[in-house]
Amino acid sequence: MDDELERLLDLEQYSLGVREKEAWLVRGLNRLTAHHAQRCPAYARMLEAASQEPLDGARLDEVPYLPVSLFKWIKLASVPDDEIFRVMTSSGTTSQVPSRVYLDIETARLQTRALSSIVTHHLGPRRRPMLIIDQPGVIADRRHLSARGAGILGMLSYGRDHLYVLDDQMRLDRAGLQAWLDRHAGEDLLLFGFTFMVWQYFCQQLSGAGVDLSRATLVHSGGWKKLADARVDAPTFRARLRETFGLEHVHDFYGMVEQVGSVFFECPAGYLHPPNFADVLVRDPRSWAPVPVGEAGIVEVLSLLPRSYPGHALLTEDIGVVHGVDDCPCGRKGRRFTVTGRVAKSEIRGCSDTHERRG
Amino acid sequence: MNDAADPGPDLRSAASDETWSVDELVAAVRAAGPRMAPFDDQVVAFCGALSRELLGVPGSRDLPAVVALGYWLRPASVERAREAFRAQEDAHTILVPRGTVFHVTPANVDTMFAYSWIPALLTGNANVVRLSGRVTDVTRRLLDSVARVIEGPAFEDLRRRNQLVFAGHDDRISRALSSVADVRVVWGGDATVQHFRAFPLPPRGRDVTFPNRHSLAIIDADAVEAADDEDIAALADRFFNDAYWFDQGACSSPRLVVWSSPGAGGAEAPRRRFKAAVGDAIRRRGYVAQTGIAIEKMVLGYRRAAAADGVRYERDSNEATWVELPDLDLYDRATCGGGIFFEFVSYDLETDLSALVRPEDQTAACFGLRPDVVRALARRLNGRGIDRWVPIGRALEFGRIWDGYDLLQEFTRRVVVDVGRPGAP
Repeated sequence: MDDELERLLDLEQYSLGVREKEAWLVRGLNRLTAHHAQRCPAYARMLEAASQEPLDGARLDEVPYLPVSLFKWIKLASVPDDEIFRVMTSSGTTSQVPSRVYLDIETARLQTRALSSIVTHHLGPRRRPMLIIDQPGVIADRRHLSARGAGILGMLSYGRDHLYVLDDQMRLDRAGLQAWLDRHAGEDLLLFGFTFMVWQYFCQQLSGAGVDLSRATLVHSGGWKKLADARVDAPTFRARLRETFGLEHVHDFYGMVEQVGSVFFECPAGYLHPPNFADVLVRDPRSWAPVPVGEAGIVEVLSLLPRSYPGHALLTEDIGVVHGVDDCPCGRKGRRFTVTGRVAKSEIRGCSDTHERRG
Repeated sequence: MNDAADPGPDLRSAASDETWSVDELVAAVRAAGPRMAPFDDQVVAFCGALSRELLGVPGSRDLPAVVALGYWLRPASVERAREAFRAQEDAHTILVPRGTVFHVTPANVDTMFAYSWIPALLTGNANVVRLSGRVTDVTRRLLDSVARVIEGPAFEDLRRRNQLVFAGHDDRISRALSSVADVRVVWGGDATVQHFRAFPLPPRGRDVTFPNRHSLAIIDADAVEAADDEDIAALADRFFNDAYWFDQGACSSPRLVVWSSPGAGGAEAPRRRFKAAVGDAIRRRGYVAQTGIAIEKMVLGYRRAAAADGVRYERDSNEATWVELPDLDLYDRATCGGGIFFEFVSYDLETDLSALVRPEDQTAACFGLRPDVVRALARRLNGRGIDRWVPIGRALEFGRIWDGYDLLQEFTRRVVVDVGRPGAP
């Protein structure tokens, strides 16, 4: 067990300035690199093949990172099979091949604790009546959860009296919604859903309906690609929620199945924040060195949680910008960043019409 | 198919404003009139005119694929093809066109349709060339050139007998065109070939198929060590052409680099030297990999590294990734392209190639190997794979002998003319 990680989880989230935080993180991440190199032969071979040195660097960007989609292709586990407690799978938006992430009880426990420390920071310790802007079928089969289902399942415990407000045709249950709102009049509410679905099946449908959600907090995730196609950006999204529902408290969050529990919540100022036990780097897509504050690059996510699989430093395929360090108007310490897009899928010419990308 | 609604024209000419239903096109092909003789004057003149057009288009010098095609079509080159063709006839046989050739061309290699069409045209056949609707700039310019030349009054017969058409992947069209094809040429890989197998040819029809291929380079380490800097730079430039012209996605682009190194020691120095020179060539040519492919290469390189001990993964730049494999069994030919090279150091080339080579292996681009050694290797492999042994730099150079076919022969039939001397018993 890692006492330092426990302390980082116990501390009030976002309380560490970058200097102090990096010292903790680098130590912990280096320990994880060694831990996984010892226990995951595939990981050890990758380090060896790339002659990644040093393995105990002094900076975050020296921690060896893996491209996140490796989890689609190879089994990366640092525990023996009989200690695997759950396999998280997710098919990303760009591929039919699902990622497979192997959890032991310890890592699953850390993920739950970590998520809890983040969510309670933003929502407070009390469980609120919770509206899920999705259909109940999305978590029906818990052994084969989609990323969407897993996200919902992870959030369920932070609410009570759950209502799934869509049916399997994505139709809004207006009567059910009204009854639920009447039942909880005057209470603080929790709304959860995927960004595009919140927009398409909730906000758009209830435009002009006079539903008051001024006491609610919306937590949403899932990315902006579909909304960008509809020319809806984050400020438009927020403005429309304010107009339609009087809804002021809105948190986007950024996270991935390869680092569950290590989520980046959006603050009222509109920036994503890494919790104490995690961080983000933005790398230049040519030199792969970190870019200066304010410049766009490829997002790398770092987290102290992954113990059963070598996912503590992952290069994503997302494009992001770190906007500042220890200077967010919301008062939270550490880096503040936004995710602005995704790396374009490669288009390679060739003789073959049907490109196989088999393993 | 829904016959009730008017589906609009099935096919659109790639060289004029014409449109046809598939039935109209089939009828037009059948009514195309008397066949032309192989290397008919009109066809030879057309190749010359197209060559001049391609080499003369402003800006075409920046399009190496267009220039290469222009050279391939110039009169001297066509004359060489004619001589080679005539040489295949003998005292008792002559070669005649097969009739109508239906070409299914690949979407991704801009000039490929021409390399399929021209040999069939030269040998006197009528042609329907199906082009994908996805048209690159290079293809567009090529088609414009073809359209300008073919409109000439001298080429009226040729124009009637050769239709370049855009058609989507519509099974009804594929079936109809297959049903009248004396030869069907299918480019585009295993899946496309399998797909077209479902559409019957006439009883005497035949397929010429181009399924997925894989190619490699074979480099003699001592030759790299012995070469001077200028030669190495030139070699790297040629390797660049082979590998990067189609983002390492052409069938003939090397994916595996086998180092022949009779002495022990891993050929470290020559390999370092060659890879550094390739890096310089990439920078000289200003080739830049997209971020997406750079990440894909990282993933593929790490996947191979994770599979076995002793793999070396070297990311020289986004453009060039080198993955050294300690054992050829680890190599599975799959790639994402865009400049990822698997390296293997062979201390016994003949044994290693014998174990490695399979039917999908197409081109071995070589440097520093003696011709007699290569010939012996080819004999030793005895058809198990590798259809072309060429110098590095010529991997993509199309020739009439391709994938084991002599296209001039594939598009003809051999007629026996052996009646004996008059009066002889």
